[in-house]
Amino acid sequence: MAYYVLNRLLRFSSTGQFIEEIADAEDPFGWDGLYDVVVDPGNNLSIVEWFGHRVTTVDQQGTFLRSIGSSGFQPGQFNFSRGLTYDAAGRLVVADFSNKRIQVFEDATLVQALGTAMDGPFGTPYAVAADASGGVYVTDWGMSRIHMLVDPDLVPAPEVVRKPRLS
Amino acid sequence: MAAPLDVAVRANGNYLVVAGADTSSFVRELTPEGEIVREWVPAAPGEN
Repeated sequence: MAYYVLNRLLRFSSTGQFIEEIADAEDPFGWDGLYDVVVDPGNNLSIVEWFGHRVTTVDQQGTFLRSIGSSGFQPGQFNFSRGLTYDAAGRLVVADFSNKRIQVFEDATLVQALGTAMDGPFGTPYAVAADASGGVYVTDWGMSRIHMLVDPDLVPAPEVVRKPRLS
Repeated sequence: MAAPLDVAVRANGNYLVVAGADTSSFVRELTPEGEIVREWVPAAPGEN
């Protein structure tokens, strides 16, 4: 569980029993706006930080593995990163909120960016979730809309957009 | 739709959306085609 207000990353059992707290091993000031955490295909934890503008991956013991992103609008940078998921192909999909785009990483390398601040189609992408068929849903806070991505060339329509294939 | 905040995909392929605003909030389950399957809304004050 990522706890945004207190910047604490806490591990609980499936029955809700508190197990431990995972600290930020890279930054002596700790996490910076924890917003989401997911388990990657290798059973590591990937954590997104709203104010830190990065995604950090640690192993199950909390040992730092890697961090991607920094503050900015260039490819691979984030401007208030908010939600993340791994798609069916094992790629990391990040909602880059204020850059109004979705960025896709494979082995910590940017492989695709969907959307631009000027041309859309995203208002402010907030959360992402992947389905088993390769699709990714995006909640768009600013546009009050759900985008369903199958093909990066599709232009989203109101409410639900067709499926993406993020490749 | 109120501002959608979070989304999750169910094992059956439907997806759940959490949306909220000052005046309304809900959790809604939709099919991939966008049809609403069910919706959960907060109880009004005084309701169980």
